[in-house]
Amino acid sequence: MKRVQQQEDHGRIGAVASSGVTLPGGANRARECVLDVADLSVEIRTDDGPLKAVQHVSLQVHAGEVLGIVGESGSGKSITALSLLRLLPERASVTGGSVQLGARDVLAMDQTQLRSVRGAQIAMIFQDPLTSLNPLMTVEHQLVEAMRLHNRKLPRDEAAVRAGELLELVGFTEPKRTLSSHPHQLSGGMRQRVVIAMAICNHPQLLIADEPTTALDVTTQAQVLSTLQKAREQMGSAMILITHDLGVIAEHADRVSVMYGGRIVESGSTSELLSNPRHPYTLGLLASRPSVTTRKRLHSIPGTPPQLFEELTSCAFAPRCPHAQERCRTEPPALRELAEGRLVACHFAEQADTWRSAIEAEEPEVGVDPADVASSSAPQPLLTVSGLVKDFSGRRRLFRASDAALRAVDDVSFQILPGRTLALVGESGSGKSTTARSVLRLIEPTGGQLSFDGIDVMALSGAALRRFRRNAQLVQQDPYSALNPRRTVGDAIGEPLRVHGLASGRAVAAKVTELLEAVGLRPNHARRFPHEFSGGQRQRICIARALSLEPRLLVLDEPVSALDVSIQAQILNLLSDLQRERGLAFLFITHDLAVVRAIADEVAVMYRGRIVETGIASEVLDRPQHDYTRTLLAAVPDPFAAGVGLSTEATHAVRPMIGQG
Amino acid sequence: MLTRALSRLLQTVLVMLGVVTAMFLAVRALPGDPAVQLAGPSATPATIVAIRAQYHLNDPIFTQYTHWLGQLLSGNLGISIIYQTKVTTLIGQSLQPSLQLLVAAMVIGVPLGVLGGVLAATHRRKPADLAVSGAGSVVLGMPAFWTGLLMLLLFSVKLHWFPSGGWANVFTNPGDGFTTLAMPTVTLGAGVAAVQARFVRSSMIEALTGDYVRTARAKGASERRVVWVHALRNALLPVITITGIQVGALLGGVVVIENVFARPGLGTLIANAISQRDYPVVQGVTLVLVAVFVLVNLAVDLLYSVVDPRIRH
Repeated sequence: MKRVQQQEDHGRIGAVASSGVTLPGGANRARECVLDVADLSVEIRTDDGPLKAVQHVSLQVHAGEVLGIVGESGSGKSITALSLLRLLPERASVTGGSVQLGARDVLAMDQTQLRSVRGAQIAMIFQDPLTSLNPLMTVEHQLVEAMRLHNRKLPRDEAAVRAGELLELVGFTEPKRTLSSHPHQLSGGMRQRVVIAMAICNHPQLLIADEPTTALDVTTQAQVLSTLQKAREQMGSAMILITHDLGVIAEHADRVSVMYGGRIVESGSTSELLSNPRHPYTLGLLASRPSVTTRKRLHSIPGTPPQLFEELTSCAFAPRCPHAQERCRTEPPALRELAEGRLVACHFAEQADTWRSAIEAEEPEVGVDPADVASSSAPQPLLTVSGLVKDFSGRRRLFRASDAALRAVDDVSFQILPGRTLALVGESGSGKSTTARSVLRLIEPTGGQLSFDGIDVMALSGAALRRFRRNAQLVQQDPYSALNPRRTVGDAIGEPLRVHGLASGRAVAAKVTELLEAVGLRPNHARRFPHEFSGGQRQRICIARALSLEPRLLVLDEPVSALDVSIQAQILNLLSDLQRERGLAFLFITHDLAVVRAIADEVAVMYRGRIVETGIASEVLDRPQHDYTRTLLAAVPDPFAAGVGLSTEATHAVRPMIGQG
Repeated sequence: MLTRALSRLLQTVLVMLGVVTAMFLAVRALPGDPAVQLAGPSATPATIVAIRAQYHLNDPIFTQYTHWLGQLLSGNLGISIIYQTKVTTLIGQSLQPSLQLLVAAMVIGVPLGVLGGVLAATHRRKPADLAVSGAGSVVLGMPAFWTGLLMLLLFSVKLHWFPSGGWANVFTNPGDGFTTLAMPTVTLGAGVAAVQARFVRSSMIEALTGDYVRTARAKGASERRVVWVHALRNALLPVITITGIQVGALLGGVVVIENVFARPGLGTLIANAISQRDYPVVQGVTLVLVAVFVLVNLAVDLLYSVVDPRIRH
C-alpha cells in the first residue's frame, strides 16, 4: 500500500518540477516542454529474474536546454535513453510510465508513427562511433538515407548537397572527400561528427546523446563536444546528455539528474547541484573523482552499485552510504523537492552541509617534493630505459615495395626509482602501451637499453629472463578479458607461484589467501570463477595475481580506465596503499591527467611515440612547458578547476576549448 | 586490387600444383596394379610385363611424375588405360552434366538458405525459427545418397514424374535437361540450403545486435529496411567464405549423387576409374575438381574484397 502511495508521489513531484525550472542565465520563465517522461520503469529479463533497471523515472526537457543525466554503469541511464525512442534490446521492456512528446505518448505509438519520430523529431547519438555507422555504406549514403527516410520527395542529389553542408557545419574541411569515404577511413572523432551530422539533419526538437565522447581521447572529446553544442544551437534542439563524467556535465548541461540503482536520486541546475550536492551518492561521486589540480587521497565509495531485482524496501544507496541510519534501511526515500527545481531522494539531505565539510577538511596530500628528488641522496633507479625504439614492420607485398615500418616508440628514455610511480601519459596511438610491453620484453624492442636493478634486461634470455619477470609484473586495462574465464580465482593467483616453482600445495593456498586479503577480497573468493565478480573486483584479482611473485616493479597499463569513478577511486587507493606497504615501483600508463595527479610522483608525456615532456608530476601539471601537455590539460573537463574539492563557488565556468575542426 | 588478384592467382596455381602432386602419389600408393586390370584375369605374366612397359609403369616414380607434369603443362592429361581414349575427351564429355548439376544446386540452395536464415534470425525462438532450424537438421541428418534413393523410389518408381537417371543438356534439350536435373538438384540443393541457413541465421543474429543496426532504427528506418539493407549485407560477409567452401563439399556430393541417379558426369567417371585403377583418369578428374574448387574460392575471395570496403582499401 505504502509502495503505491510512493509511486504516486513520484508522479506528482515530477509534475511540480516541470512547472518551474530554473533555466540558464537565471531567467525563471516557463519554457515549452519538449519531452515529458513520467514514472518510467524498465525491466530486463535475466537468468536471475527480471532486473529492475529503471524505476519510476520522471524528467522533463524544455526547448533549447541541455539536460544531463549522470550515473555509473548499471545506474539505468542508457536504458532510460533507449526507452525514450523504444530502442531497447530485445530482453528489456518498459513496464510502466509515459513518454510524452507534445501531445503524443511515444510508448503508445504504432510502428509507423514511431518511425516518423525517430531521427526526425528525436535523434540519437550513440557511444561508440567506431561501430555506430554501417561499415559497408559510404558517409553520403548514410546521410542521404537519414534525410530521405523522412522526406521522400527530396531528390537524391539535393540531399547529397545538403549532406555536404552538414559535414561542413560539423567541422569537416573537405566534405566532398568525406562524403565518398567509408567509415573505416575516418578517425573516431570524425566518425562521431558524421553521427552528429546525421542526428541533426532533420532539425530534431530533441537530441539524445548517450555517452557521446566516452570512447574518444580527451582532446578529441573536447572538439566533438564543442561541435555537438554548436550544431545543437544551430538547429535549436534541446538535448539529453548522458555521461558518467561530471566534468562533461559541468561544461555542457544546464540541468542535471543523478541516477543510482535505476532511480533519479538528485536533480537540479548544474551549478547548484555540483557546488551544493545534497545526496550522499552525489557527494561521494564528486569526492571520488580525482582532480587535475589537487592531489589528495581519493574519497572512494565502498562496495559496488546494486542490481535490483525487488521493489525497494530501503534506500538503494544505504549499503554504501557512510551516513546511513536505521530509517534508511527500512523506508525507501521518495524524491522530494528541497527548493524550486531541486529534488533529492534522501531522508537526511538537510545534513549534507556537515558531510561536505568533513570531506573538505581532509588535507591535500603532498606529492614528491621536487627538492627531494633533486638531492644527491636519491637512490639508484630501479628501472632505466634509454633510447627505446619499437618498429612494427609494414605489410610485405608481392609486386611492390613493402609498406614502410611504423615506429611506435621512438627514442624513449626514463627512469623509475624504487617505491615511486612514473606515469606515462598520452592519447591512444601515442605508443604508451607499446612502451610498457617493450619494457617487460613481452614484445621485443627494436633497439635501446633496458636496465633493471643494474642488470641488462636486453641481454637476458631463458631462465634469466623468467627471473626478471618475477620482479616486474603487468596489470592490464580490461579486467574482463585479462582473466581466464574457466579457471578459478585461486588458480589464477596461484599459477605464477607454481610456474616459477616458488610454492606448491598448501603453501600456494596460504599465499592466495594472504593476497586476496591484501587486495580487499575474501579468502573464500579463491574458489569462485571470474564471471562472479564485478569489474573492480576483477581488477583486484589481477593485482593480486601480479603481486603473487612479490615483484619490485608493477607495470600498470590503464588499470582504472575501464572502471566507474567510485570504483576507480577504490583501486587507486588500494594501489597507493600497496605501494607504501611493499615498496613497489609503478610504471603507470594512463590517458587521464587527473589520475596522474592522484597517483604519480613523476610523469612522462608521450606524443606520437616520443616523450615530449617529463618531470615531477605536480610541476608538469601546474606549469606545463610543452604545447601538447598544455593542450591535454586544457581539454580535461573538470567540475572543480577553480579550487579544492567541493568548492562552494559556482564552477560552471567557460573553459577554453581547443581548435574546432 | 589488381596486385591482390595477381598474387592470389599465383597462390592458386601453387595450391593446385601441391594438390595434384599429392594425388599423383596417393594414386600410386593404392594397392592394385592397373596392368593386371587391363590385361584381364586370363593374362600371362608376360602380357602384364609388356603392358607395364607400355605405360611406363616400371619407371622410377620421379620420372613418371616429371613425364606426367610435362604432359600436363602441354594440356595432355594422358590416355585412359581402360577406355583407351584421351583423358581430356572423357572429361570433356562428363564436365557438362556435373557443372550443370553443381550450378543448379547452388542456385537453388544459396538463396533458399539465405531466405531461411534471415527468417529464422528475425523470428528467433519463434515458430518460423524452429521450422527452419528443424528442417535444416533433418536435411543435414540424412545422407544425400539416402535422400536421393527415397526420391527415386517415390518420384520415378511410384509416381513416374521424373526419369530415374540419365542426363540431357539443359541448353540444347531443356525438356529432358530439366527433368533429369530436378531430383539430383533438390537432393544436393537442400543440403546447401541447410548449411547456408545455419550460417546466415547466426551471422544475422549477430549483425542485428550491431550498433549500426540500432543507428538505422534510430534514424527511422523501417524494420524491413533495417533487416534487408543494413543488417543483411553485413551478415553475408562471413557467409560468402562459407559458400566457397560449400562448393568443395558439393563436389564430393556430386560424385555420390551422380552414381545414385546414374548421371554420366565426372563423379561417375572418377568412381569407375578408381575401382579400375585407371590412374590417368583419376588424376585428370581430380585436377578438374581441384581447379573448380580453387577457382571458385579465388572468385569468392575477390568478391569479398569488392563487397567489403575495409579490405578494398
